Amino acid sequence: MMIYPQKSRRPKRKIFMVTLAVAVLVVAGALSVPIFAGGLVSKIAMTVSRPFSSSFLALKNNLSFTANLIRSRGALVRENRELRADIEADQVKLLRLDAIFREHQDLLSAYGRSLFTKQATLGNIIAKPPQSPYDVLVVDIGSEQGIVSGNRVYGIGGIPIGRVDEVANTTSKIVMFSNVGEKNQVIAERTGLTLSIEGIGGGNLETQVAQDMDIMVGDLIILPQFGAAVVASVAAIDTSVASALKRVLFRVPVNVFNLRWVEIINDSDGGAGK
Amino acid sequence: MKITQIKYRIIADVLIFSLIFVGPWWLSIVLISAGIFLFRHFYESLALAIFLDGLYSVPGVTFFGTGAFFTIIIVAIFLLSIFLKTRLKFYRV
Repeated sequence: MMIYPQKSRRPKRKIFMVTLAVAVLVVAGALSVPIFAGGLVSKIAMTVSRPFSSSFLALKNNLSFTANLIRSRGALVRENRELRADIEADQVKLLRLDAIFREHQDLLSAYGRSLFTKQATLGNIIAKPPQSPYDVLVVDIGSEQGIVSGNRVYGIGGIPIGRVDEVANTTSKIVMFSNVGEKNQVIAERTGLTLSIEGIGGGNLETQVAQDMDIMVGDLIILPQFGAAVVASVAAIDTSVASALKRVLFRVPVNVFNLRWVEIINDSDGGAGK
Repeated sequence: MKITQIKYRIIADVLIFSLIFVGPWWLSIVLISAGIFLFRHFYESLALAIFLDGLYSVPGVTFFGTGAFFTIIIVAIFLLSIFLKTRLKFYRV
């Protein structure tokens, strides 16, 4: 007669209990102990990531350049024509905007409130959405370049996009206005109404206003603490007859996914405004 | 089903770590989850999750103020995998 030894489940149970304990400790630690996100682990992760991110970014750029080289000639000619047409149209717009921008700068300077009276440092973005699940950017400049938490951040072209949150020696984390839960007080440029907007991710923001409030698609909103610069425009208005409020959706003027550089204003007051 | 060779494990670790910097965040979660199910006691997953949270999260700002999005998800998948691995017929522990 064959005797089959009964398989004991005890070792498995022991492994499960040990792993459960480790897992609970890890989650509890991540939630409460500041050495995880925002603390020592965050500093280490940001420092370690810099060489890897920079290398992968360079590799990605080289690969896309090589891929463009081997694309068909016809496609390149077509793209060239389209781009030339776009450039011509943009140049006309730019001429008008340049004049308005100069006038705006002169007016701000006259009152000592120029957008860039303080030193701006250019930062190369090494991590951004969709690598990050939030509207958080990691740039390759940090405390060694004089960046401090709270510094204001602009996209190229002087469009405010967020603020510096965490700073390591050679890297910094930037929280964009469109990050989920990020709240800001803004002013509708056309009507002067003050709104409280909240980020919903992906370069989008939202607010709820009364049904009879004067707001329409295309309206620009400005941030007073950023020298009254435009931060977003109204992209859609969701009106429901049953509700006393309407939902207004905003979109930031820069494409979060295509951002490559940012300007960080090194003001020691932490961007408290001017 | 289960890959025991250490070299595959090292390759997977390097691949997932590299993808953190170039791939979308959800791909990192998918690959770490695959690693948890394919390798025995894939404890690196916890380290990778903490690294991801350290790199991208901002406490008080992201993921309901906790900043532990990846850690919570990966720990949940890790615990689920222990439960499933001992009960799935086609998975040999």
